[in-house]
Order: sequence, then structure tokens, then C-alpha cells
Amino acid sequence: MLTEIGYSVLGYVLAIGVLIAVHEFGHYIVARGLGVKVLRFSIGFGKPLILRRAGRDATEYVLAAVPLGGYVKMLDENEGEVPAAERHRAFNRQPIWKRIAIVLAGPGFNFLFAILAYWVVFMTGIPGLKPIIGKVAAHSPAQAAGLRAGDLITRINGRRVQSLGQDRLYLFQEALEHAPVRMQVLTKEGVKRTVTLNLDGVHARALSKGHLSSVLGIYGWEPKLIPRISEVMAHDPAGKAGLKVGDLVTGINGQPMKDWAQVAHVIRRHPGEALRFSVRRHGQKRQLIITPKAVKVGTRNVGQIGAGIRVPTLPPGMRVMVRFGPVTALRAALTDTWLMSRLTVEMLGKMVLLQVSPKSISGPITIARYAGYSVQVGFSSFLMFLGVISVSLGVLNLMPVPVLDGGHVFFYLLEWVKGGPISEQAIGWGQRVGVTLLVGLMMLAFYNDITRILG
Amino acid sequence: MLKERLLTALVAGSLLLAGLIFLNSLDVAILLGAVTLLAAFEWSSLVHPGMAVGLAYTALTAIVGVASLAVPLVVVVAAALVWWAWAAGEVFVFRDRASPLWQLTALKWLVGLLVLVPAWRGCLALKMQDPSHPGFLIWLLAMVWAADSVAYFAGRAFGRRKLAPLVSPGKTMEGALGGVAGAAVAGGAGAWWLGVLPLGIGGGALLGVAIAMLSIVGDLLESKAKRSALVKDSGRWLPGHGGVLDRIDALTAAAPLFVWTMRDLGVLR
Repeated sequence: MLTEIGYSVLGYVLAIGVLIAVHEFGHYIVARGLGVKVLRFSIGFGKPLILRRAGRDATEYVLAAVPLGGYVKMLDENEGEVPAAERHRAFNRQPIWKRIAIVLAGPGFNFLFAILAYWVVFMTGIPGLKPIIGKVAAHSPAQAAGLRAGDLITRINGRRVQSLGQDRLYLFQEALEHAPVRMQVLTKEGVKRTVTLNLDGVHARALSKGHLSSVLGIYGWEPKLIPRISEVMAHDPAGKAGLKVGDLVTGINGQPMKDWAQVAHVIRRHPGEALRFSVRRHGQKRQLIITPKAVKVGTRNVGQIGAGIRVPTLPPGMRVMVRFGPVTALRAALTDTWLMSRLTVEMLGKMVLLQVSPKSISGPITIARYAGYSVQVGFSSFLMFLGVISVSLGVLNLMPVPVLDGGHVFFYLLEWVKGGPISEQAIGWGQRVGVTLLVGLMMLAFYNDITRILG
Repeated sequence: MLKERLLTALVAGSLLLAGLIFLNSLDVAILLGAVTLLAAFEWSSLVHPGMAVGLAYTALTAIVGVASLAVPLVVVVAAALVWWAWAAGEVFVFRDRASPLWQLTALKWLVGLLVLVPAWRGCLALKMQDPSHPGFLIWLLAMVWAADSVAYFAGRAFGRRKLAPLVSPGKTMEGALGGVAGAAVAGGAGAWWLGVLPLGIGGGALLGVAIAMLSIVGDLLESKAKRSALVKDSGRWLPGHGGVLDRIDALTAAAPLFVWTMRDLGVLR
């Protein structure tokens, strides 16, 4: 518990520190480049812990106590007296395009950082499962082509396949284009073979990434999950019904159960219905009646009993590091950053329209927990995590909410349209609406974090 | 002054507590309603002086209050929470800067309703949750009172740095921290006593912290309103305590969050 909190605090401070530094550095470097005088560059709010002056402008570089943000303070006539000799270097005197550039540089650097982080991760390698075929369905295109369980997929239409998931993506693309799929595999015996999958009988409409396996008849190798319970939530149906850690689930409603995936499937399908579990405890058979509680996922109710198993670690022979060359990695990094930004905007939009539950908003505590996990897993997972957070910071800051970067840009554009400065009054109102939104968002995020921890 | 203050608190407090426990829901609605209407009258004097205006606004508050019973609790409480998010920005972010809100009279009237009506409606819902043992209502009051009194004494004993020098010169940082700690203790104790399952003592203490912070928002917001109207006390109903509004300002801010949380936990519907 304590080490977990320690890692979380460490991960959070490290992650937020880096990302704030990146964001503020964007503002700082562009402001300086465009000839605006920077008075202070601060990471963190509040009381300065470390303060250094440097450069011909004697800019203050500050590390401050509250790690929830940072700021770059520029010479500005709205914030204090500016001697006449320096007026041309004040932020408020700059033409609109310069001010917009300085403000956009913050989020811009967050995106650049994400791209860089992904690029490094894709080059150093991400862990994945080896693309070994686990099962071939009878009377399927895969069987007709002569594929067998145990075959390692190496290439699809010439493209190198390094991990499970990649094969799915490539197959999906080829299937959409209705191209014949030439698959190169390495059999268990070490023989290289090339087979052709005939997809003529497959309708494009029947395809979706989730159903690809059943359409083609290829199932990837997955570790077998023995349904031995290793975790029970006391206040959930499983705990109340008396399921204990160590119990082996052998059947539900008389049907034998061999794999946890099977068990989970049955539970999910029966929200609110009493299920008769057969379990083996210390060699003795027992029957338990457990009624899964209904949990809303999207628009559907699914069942949950509040129990889980320990997922076994993968045998080393099944693991693989997926690496890309610099160019491919950069392309993948760009695509991923773009996709994630789009997804974030879509999520925000759906939240505003109340199509997504506001419960899915996470706050600093959840971020800290994930930061803690990823720090423990390793450098590349932490880097990937930084990339994700960096993108959300960038997107969030671009929202046209006053007090955020996007809000500043919004006001500058208004100024440009109007052809003159916006009234103090209007800015005051805008800022208050913006702060209300942010305070509300923060309250919601903290509230969700805390209820999540309390479970 | 202190003696007078303590005595009044003791008498008024025990009377109120007895009333909340032993009266039925309708009587409690009327009792809390009366307090709310007195506060509404005071609010109106902050917006616009005059007896006639005050009575008219009090009547309006009464009508809106009764009408709020026809609106689902969630909606009323959500509206109040949005307002308090705004208010938190006013007092913590914009601090001493004058708010554009106070330049528009119509909005000041509206704010008064948002401050008073949801708090009344929320407290009533808490009483009705279990009329014979209104434990949750008393828990809320205990947290707010703990925040207020511990802040008062901690401020007297250790107070050095001013919390909001221009808005409310009497408040100190040290006092505020003391108040947060006091409410955390009351929160933990209440959660334990009432056996609020998913919360536990730690969760109750966290709730207390949030309640105390909102109390401060409520307090400072009223100070800000008074400052813009250039008065010190909102009224002189209770000896040593200023007006009714001065007494309930913290509660008006804390009640919506508390009610929302209790709804989320399934205590209220």
C-alpha cells in the first residue's frame, strides 16, 4: 500500500512535472523567439522553492510548491507598469498573430512531445503476443487454406507481422479490400509455408475487427485461464454468496466450465439472474447461488459478481518485442497521436452532449495511480503513458474556454473580427464562465477519483 | 462578545436540534423555511434597500421554494452545484477582484434564490429520508458547525496569515485549516456512527474536508456580497452572530454537495 502510494506520488510528480515543463517551454521559447520579454518561467504554482535568474532579461526560472500546473509570465501592461523603453517588448503590444503563436505553442509542444514519446517507444519496442495460431475452426476459410494450430504467422501479403493484433489489423484491411490474402507461416516443425486465404465468400458487412476471428476461422493463441478465484469483493454478489479465494469454478447451471473466459461470458450474459455455481473447495464439491449484479456498459446491462482470477504471466516463448525502423515508427507515432487527439475531442463532445457518463472523467488521483503502475512496469510504458497524458493536456488546453490557451486564442480572434480590443467586462465574464467550468470539472474529477477508490 | 456568542449558539443550536429531531417533516419544512425566508429578507437588503422590496423578495423566495418541491431533487441540487462552482472561482481564483456579477441587479436576485432554495430543499430531503432519526441531516450540520467553530478557535489561537484580506479580513489561513480538520473529524465520526457502508471512516473524513472547503466558499461569498453592498452584518437577529444569513451561509454551500453525495451513495432517492 505505502510503496504503491510512493510510486504513485513519484510517477505523478515526474509525469506532471515533465508535461508542464514541456507545455510552458513551448510558450517560453516562442515568446522569446518573437521578441517578447519573459519575466518568469515557473513549473508549479504558489511559493517558489527554487529561483534562479539568468539571461540578459534576468528571467526568473522557478520551481514552485503546488504541482498542479505552471505559467510563463511575460511583460504585459495589463499586469503592471511597463517603462516606455520596453513597451515594444510587452505581450499586449504584439500583433494578434504573434500572440496567437505564443499561446498555441504550449499545446503544440504537448503534441510534439507525444509524437516524440511514441516514436521512441515504437523504435525501442512494445511488448506483444507472438502471432501464433491457437485454433482453426472447422469449415472456415482458414481450414480450407490449410492453416493449422501452432503456425506462426510471419507475413501477410508481404507485410511483416510481429505480434497478434497486427495480424488482425492487416487481415482486416485486406478483407475490406477483398484482396486474396497470401499468408506466410512457420509451422511447428519449422517449415516455411505460404497459403492463400480465399475471402470471396465473406461479406464486407459481416466484418468488424471483433468478429474477424470467427469469420476467417483463425483464433490467436491465448493463455488458458484456469477459473480458480484469487480475488473476491466482500460487498459484491460473489462475496455475499460465500465464494472464497481458492475456489475452483467447475460449472454453472450444470454446464461444465474449463476456462475463465467461459465463466466470465456466462456471468456477463445473465445480469440479475440467479446462477448455480459448482465449485471445488479443498477437494470438496459445493454449490453456490450467485446473482450477478447488473452493470451498465454502454447501452447494455452486463452481469458482474465481483470476483476475479490471477492472470498467469506469459511463457517467455510467447512474448515478443515489436520494433519498427525510424521512418515507420515516426509514421506510426504521427498516426497514433492524431487518432488519440481525435478520440479525446470526440469523448469531450460526447460528454458535453451527455452521451458519455461524466463518471468516466478521471482526476489527479487516477492519473497518479496509473503513473505509479507505469513507472513500475518500465521506461517505455511510462513514456507511452506520458504521451497519452500529453495529448489530453494539449487537447484540453485548446478548448475555447476562457483562461485556457484556447480561450485566449478565441478572444484574439474576436478582437481580430471586431477590429479592436475586447472590453474588460466581457473578458471578466468569459473568465468567470471558464473558471466555473474548470472548477466544476475538477470537482467532478476528484469526486470520481475518490468514489473509485472507495469502490 | 465571546460569551454572548457561545451562549446564543448553545441555546439556538439545541433548540434547532430538538426541533429537527422531534418535529415531523412538515413542521421541519416550515421551521427551516422560516429561517430561509429571514435569510432571503436579509439578502434582499444587500441587493436593494427597502421594506417593500424585501417583503416582495421574501414572498418570491417562498413561492420558488414551494415550486422547487415539484422539481426532481437532482435538478435542484445540480443547479446549486453549478452555482457553487462559480462561487468557488469567485472566492478562490478572483479573490478580491470585484465580480461583474454584482453589477447586474437581476443576477443578484437570482443568486439569492440559488443560495437559499436548494439548501432548504436538500435539508428537507435529508429529514424526510428518515423523519424519526434524521441522522444524515444532523451529520451535515455537525460537519458545518465543526468547521465553523474549530476555525474560529484555531484562528484565534494560531491565526497569522490572512485568508482573504479584502473580502473577509477576520479569516486566517490557520483558522481555515483548523476548520477543515474539525470537519474531517466530524465527517469520520458521522460516517462511523451512521454506518455509511461504502464510505467508511476515511471516506467520511474526506467528505468532511470537502464540506469544510465549501463552507469557506459559502462564507467568503456572502462576505463578498456584503462588501459589494457595503454592510458588515447581514442583519441583527441573533446576538453576537450578526444576521441569519451570516449563520447559514456555510450551510447553504455545503448542503448541495452533501445531498448529491448521499444520493450517489443510495441513501437518498
